[in-house]
Amino acid sequence: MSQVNRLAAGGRIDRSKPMSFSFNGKTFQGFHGDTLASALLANGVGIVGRSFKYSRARGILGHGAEEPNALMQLHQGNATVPNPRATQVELFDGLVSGSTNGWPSAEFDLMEWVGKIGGKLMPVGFYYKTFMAPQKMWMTYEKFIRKAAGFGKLSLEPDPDTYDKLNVHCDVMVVGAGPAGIAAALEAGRSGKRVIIVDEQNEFGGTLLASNQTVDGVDAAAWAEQATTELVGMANVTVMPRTTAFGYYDHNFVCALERRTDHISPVSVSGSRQRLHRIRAHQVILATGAIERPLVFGNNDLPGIMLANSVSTYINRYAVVPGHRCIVMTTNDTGYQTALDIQAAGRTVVAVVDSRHAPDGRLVQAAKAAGIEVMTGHGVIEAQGSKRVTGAIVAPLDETGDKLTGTGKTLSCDLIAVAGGWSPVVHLSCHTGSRPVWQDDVAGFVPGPTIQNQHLAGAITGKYRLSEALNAGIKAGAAAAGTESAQVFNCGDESEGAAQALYLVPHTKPSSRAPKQFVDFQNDVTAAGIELAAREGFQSIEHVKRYTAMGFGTDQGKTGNVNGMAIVAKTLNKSIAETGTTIFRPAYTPVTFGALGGRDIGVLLDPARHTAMHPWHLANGAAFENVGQWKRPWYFPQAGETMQQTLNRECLAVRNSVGILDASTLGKIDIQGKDAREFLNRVYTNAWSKLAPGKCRYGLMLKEDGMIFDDGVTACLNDQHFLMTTTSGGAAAVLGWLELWHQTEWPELEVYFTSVTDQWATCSFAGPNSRKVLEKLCTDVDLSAEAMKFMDYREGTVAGIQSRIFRISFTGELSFEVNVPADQGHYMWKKLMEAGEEFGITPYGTESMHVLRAEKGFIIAGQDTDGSMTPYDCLMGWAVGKTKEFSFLGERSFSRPDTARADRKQLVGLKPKDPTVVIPEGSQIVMDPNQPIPMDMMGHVTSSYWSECLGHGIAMGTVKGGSERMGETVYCPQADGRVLAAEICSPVFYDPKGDHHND
Amino acid sequence: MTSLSTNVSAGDMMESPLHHHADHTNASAGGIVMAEDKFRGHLNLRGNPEDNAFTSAVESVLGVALPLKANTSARNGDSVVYWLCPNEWLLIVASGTQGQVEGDLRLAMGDQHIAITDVSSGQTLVNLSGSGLAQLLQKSTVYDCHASNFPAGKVVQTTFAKTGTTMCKLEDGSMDLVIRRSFSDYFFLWLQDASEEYGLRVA
Repeated sequence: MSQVNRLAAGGRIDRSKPMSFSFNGKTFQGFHGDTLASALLANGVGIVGRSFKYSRARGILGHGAEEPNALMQLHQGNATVPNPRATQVELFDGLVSGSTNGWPSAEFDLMEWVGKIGGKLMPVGFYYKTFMAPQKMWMTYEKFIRKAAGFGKLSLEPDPDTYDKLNVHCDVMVVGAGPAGIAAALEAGRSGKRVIIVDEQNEFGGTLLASNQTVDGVDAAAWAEQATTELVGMANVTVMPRTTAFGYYDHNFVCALERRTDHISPVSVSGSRQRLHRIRAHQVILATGAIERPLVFGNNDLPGIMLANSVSTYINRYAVVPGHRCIVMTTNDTGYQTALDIQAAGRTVVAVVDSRHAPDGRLVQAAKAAGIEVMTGHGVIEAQGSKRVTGAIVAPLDETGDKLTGTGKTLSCDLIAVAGGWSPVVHLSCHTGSRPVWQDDVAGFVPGPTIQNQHLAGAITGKYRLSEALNAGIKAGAAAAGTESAQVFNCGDESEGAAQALYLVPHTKPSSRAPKQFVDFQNDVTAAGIELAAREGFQSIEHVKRYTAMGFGTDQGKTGNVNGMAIVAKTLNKSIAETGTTIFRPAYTPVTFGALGGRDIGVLLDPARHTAMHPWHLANGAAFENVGQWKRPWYFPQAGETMQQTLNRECLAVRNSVGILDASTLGKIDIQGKDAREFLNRVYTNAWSKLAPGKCRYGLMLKEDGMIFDDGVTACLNDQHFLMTTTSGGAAAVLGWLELWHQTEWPELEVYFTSVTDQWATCSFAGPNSRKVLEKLCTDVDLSAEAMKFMDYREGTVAGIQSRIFRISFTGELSFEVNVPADQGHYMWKKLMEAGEEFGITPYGTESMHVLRAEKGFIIAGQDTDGSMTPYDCLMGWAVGKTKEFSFLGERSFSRPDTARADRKQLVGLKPKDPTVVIPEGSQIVMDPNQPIPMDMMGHVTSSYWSECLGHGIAMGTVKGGSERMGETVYCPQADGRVLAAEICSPVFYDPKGDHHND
Repeated sequence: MTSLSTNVSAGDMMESPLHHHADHTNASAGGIVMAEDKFRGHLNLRGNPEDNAFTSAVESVLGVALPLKANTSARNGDSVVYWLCPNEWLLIVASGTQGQVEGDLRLAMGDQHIAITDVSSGQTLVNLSGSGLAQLLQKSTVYDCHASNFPAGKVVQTTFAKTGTTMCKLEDGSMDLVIRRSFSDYFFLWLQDASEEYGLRVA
């Protein structure tokens, strides 16, 4: 197929590199340097999609980020990408593209008929009016609406690409590499500062690339190339094309998405497809330019109606003229440049229709001199055509543009280029919370005051002339870099006429009766819809936005917002400044989720912490459980075992002989200083004054509210040296807690804390034979029951390694813990396994540990407690010191009426009436299972297991006033209708006298 | 107070945190070179920097003045002292000498209020170098490692991907990192992934 709209010469495309691509199943040709949009226009493709609500045929409106219509579905299979704008997609050979909607095709769309009929049933706010009630039907409605409206689709397969992130730092960051941005970067770069300049397009230059102007006598595009070459040559300047600064956050933190391979192939061949740059800049220069506004008139959404500046860009940059007979509708001088460009490209300019009555700028003169018909004081009030514009009704306007002053006439055409003025791209400036301000002389919103180290240059400030942009760029670059420059550019563009502020072009009929006058193309918001919203009482622009959906979605109101606000203002009889604007949030244009995830996926999603013995656990088939970030062996299944069989075997080994547990993950805090003991007195509930060196003690730590926060055993190594253990998950929080109290409340106490969790590997082995195992490896410590009692601590040599030996127990059995420097942990574990072999030493994991401790009624802070339980609630009053000299954290809260209540939930044992039953953890507890719903909840089951050694299920749970209810029966109704009965009992099910661990 | 530092150095008894990654090579490229300086003595020292008796005692043992300025280090041959916070330092000394150094320090300090903790097994020292280093660090840490902000000798405690590290820039531009043992597998997984485009050689 020939490229009917392609010019024979000119443009920045490479005609020696033809490229084949497909759109909606048809194959077309384009050139290297094309965007998908320019290639489609070159091939005369008019309809690129269907509109969101009314399913109207839509064509390409713009040439960049502002494009509301040409959302594409790119690539196939797992590489498919939904919703990029054709105007921002660089063409490559073999590119497969399609419309995101339209059924059966965008060209012939049945939904259009639904849209034509249904459109009347879908007024503005129709989601709210029609579908919100009954609420339970919303999910059904939503499915239908999404299907009917929908844009692109995601693949359900995993994304084949990788994405990554870089943290970037610089002195000066320049956003946008148009004339202002380039000039700013040049100035800042020459100062030697670290400069980063990003631009979303494939090459630097912005409007310079499609300009007929000169910079100091040099052709604009050539100047851009020279300047870019200079920037690239500076070692201190990072030049980043294809990079969109999409979010601007506090403290000059800017996020930018670099598209590294999207222009080469659907899936990256090597390296990441996209890279997220997290940029921290001392100074930020926003040179984001401006977006041309369309005008609001009847049927202004027909394919073939485009932004004038975009038409010029297609002609000058891509050598594509998207029409043969063109009308230019303008409110300012820039439209005349488009007329001149069209004429120079050899196509017909039917007329320039100018809403102003006496335009007289340089470009107006030039157009007239070129013989172009100029109709001043007129406006296009309605376009005609169905799938393509075929004509325009042009009518005379009064001086203000508010009223028609005569009848219209119809001009035939196939392209209407619309120049409705410019909207500065204030999106990024809004992200940090700065509210844009309306400026009448700009006829647009410009960035408001900011607290960031931010500078502005160019069209973003409403200064649209090239020389103004360049000179402002130099100034901003100098200000950001702390330099001075007298450089001034000359572009011969001094005489331009004033623009007229016109938004909605009046029609002979009111908006509600006129053909649809679109404001927001992507969301199908019309002038009539906005007027209706205002009439229905929506006065705040924020409400109007949400009611009409104006500025929603990926469009973010880039072309439509100002027109919409102007219409609201007029309807409410206010000024635009009074009506105000909505503000923008990141992202400026859509960002791939993959890029936000970066490499923090799969095994890198969250660090897995491993103990020194981890390789042994892996080699011996452990199933793992996450405890905090630790991977702990959960159980060690043998071939053919169910999990319960494994647990039974592991638990019985501990009860009958010896089992071994990797307890290295327990938090360990080394405490040194002469006031260490006093400090412990204050943070633990019990007394530490008399704990002798070589002794250990269990302690409960409370928050100020008296609720259990953590627990663990602390050993006295000597009078000024203690080793505290914490729960595996609570280690960091406990260290922070200790430091907090030391640094803020008790700095006079001479004590230091150091984390040694990773320093020590801990082998915990328990069971009647545990002493025999240790005796085989340790000869320099008397391990006899008389010499080393329960809760004793010794230093000694085990398997040739200097070790810390603790006789402590979390199982209720005789038990030892050997701590060695972690470098030797794996070795120690293996030596203990060897020594224990004759006793059938059995490795066990956290699940058996839970069963064994529950048989003894030992709590697990965080499982049996939830931050709302005091020691008394856990029936652990024995662990609270009543006669301590200094109060301890949390004590004062015990006397609060609520904490002292007798009917608080208390942790008790629960013995199922049916011995074969294991009550599900989390079960609710009630006293009367036959009471009507909602039942009176008495508490819930916190821990529940099968106890092989006892031969029945055991559980712990909280029950209101439970300590006074021993022997009572409670019930746990289940979701499946069963009601499980249990008897309240002591939580100590096994060896209540503690004979075993004292052996 | 007695020290319980490692006095066993038989090879089969000791495993450094990164020992099982020692055979990893992608030497064809080697844009990143990782070298674990294993089994170094790491001592965490706490004390009062305003107490002249404390600082001079440390200096007498280490042969180098304690760095008192934030984020600085002091080096004496193979030994180095990192400033960690106003009353905390990390001493990295020759392998196996930490017990001796701790003893000497305690002797010199007398009954001053200090804490010395042997953390040699709990962390490891890793050196990263190579042509891809600057960008690899950009992938891995939010801190600005550019020479203008991170000169040789500077010490920074920051994040490395989702774990933490203490980093010190060396004169040759390479970076020493202290990595916690339990996070070392994650560290290496991240390093392997992030260095894929440059190549990774384990020296």
